[in-house]
Amino acid sequence: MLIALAGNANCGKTTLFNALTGSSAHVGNFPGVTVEYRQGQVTWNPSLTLLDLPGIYSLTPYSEEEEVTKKALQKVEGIINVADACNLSRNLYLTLQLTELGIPTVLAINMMDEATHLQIDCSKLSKFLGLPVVGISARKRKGLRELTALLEKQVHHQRCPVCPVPPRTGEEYLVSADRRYRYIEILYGECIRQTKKEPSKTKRLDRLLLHSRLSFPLLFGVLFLLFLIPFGPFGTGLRKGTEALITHLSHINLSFFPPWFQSFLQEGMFGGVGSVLSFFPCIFLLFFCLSLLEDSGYLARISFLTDPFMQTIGLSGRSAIPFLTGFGCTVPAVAAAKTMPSQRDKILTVLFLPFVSCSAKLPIFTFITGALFPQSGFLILFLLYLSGISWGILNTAFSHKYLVRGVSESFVMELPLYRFPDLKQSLRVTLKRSGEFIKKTFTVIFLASVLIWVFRYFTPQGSPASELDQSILFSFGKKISPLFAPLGFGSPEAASALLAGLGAKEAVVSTLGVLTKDISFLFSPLSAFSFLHFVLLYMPCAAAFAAIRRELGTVSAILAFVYQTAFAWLVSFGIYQLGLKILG
Amino acid sequence: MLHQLKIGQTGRILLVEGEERLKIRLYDLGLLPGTAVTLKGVAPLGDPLELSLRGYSLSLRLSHAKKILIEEESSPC
Repeated sequence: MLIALAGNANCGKTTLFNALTGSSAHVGNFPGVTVEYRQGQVTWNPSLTLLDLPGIYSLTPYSEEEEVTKKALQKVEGIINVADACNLSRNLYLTLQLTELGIPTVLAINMMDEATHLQIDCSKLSKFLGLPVVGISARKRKGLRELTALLEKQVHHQRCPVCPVPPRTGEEYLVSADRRYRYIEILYGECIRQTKKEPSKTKRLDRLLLHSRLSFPLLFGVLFLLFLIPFGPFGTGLRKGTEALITHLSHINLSFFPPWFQSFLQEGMFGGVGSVLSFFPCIFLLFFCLSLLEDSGYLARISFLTDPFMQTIGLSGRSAIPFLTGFGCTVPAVAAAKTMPSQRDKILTVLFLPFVSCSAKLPIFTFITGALFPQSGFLILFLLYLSGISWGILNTAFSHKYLVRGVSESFVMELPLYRFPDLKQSLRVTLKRSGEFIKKTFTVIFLASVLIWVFRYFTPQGSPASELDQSILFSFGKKISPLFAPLGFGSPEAASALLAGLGAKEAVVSTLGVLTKDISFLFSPLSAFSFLHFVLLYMPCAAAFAAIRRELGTVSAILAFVYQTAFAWLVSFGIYQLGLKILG
Repeated sequence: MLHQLKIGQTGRILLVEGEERLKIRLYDLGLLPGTAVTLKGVAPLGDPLELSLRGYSLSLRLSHAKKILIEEESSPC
């Protein structure tokens, strides 16, 4: 039996879903659209299949997500309407709309553990609404069995849909919305009492975090920590450790295999696996920190504070989260951009993402700055990130004015209450997300790495290359290297590395490392700076391409990437030539 | 207008103006004529605003707040 979980955003739907289904859930896509859903079976009652739908505020589709949710609701046999106990006035609006669908529904008032200042009469509310009402706490796992029991009973009562005439004009809509909210006010007065003073923790925190002169400095502090943890010494240490572990594992005795197969296993397969898995710690830490921020309620504040800046380039504060995710990896950032209600905002955000330097590029930067800028490595790195973001801003502002059509979505967003994040829950969610991330990127990057191996191992004639400079990759590199001469790095080694980087960014370092003993022979500090910019701005890796293609379509994705590479060329050209003139 | 409320001040909505899609969204969220709205705070740069209504907090852009007509109710506390 297919049961949908419907409710506002931030009401703990996903927590409830996880509590009911354990680890049996899988992620799917609604047909034809890129909206995702989670599906799983209730642990103690496998006949109930739960569908975790995106959070919606009403059944009037405002975004693609809400449209898809509405369609999905028409196909289910039962609904669990999840509501936030501290927010019932607004949550009940959706409840009233859901009752009009005529589908067996149970109202689960969640977060009862946080509503200690309220007394909610569930049985009275149930009589008013005409459906079973139960108070639960998904976090504390209270009331869950009662919920499923009520649901099972309810599903056996078929109800006739109340089919109100859908409003056709804004005025009619106002009338129906007004009618519903008036009813909610009556319900609230009858069934809910405030027994204690409302907790003022959120109010007091927001006075500091949102409305004071310290708000922006504190925001920068939080963002700095957000990057320091996954990409600073701790995260980098974990990454190097994982790399070392995989390299160690790859040194198994394979001497009974032919040499090409040995190389295939060690450099192709282990190398490919290694390049994805070594990023797992950084991605995991970033997702974990983002999950804690979301759970605490501060993530919404980040959108709030950044909104006026985003407006100047035609976006809204909602884009802040995909951008933050993009510092880890473009692939989940594109997924985060899917929740934007406006198609136009989504396109602009996704197009901006490649300018946000993903974590896979970081080893390239540190490798080159380490060799060519031993003293000022950190400064160069900082300039590079700043440069990437600046170019992104310029491009987006330009696209917003001249290229992308459509209306930007207004920025109306709920600010949830602050709560202390549930560490166990965040850990569980992060593990799931990271697992999904690995599944999505693994295949593409792995295949790309194997392909790169083939191009590095064999000569154009088909026999194993004795030196890397006889490989197919190198011959390609030689052919295209003149293109990069005006940029300062016209060597076949550099060109080969860039080609390899199309498959997976990590391959740039490994290719350079194998092709040359000392990269300071290939680059001068100026040409290295120019090269770094090219790496920063040119086409992202195959996995990112696949993700963007899924959102924007093949033609747009290809156009975007051609543009990016051309733009990267121009910027690197400018830097190198200007640099030559300035330095004489 | 809504944006002219002082921090802590409550107003009752008289009219919501603006484009249709946004109006429908605001109605869904409970911003209806007759609703009491309190200005909880403002971002350091003046945009967006944080409003309190029906027991929850909503962020709204200054440009939209300028389109909502209210009558003042209480003085700031």
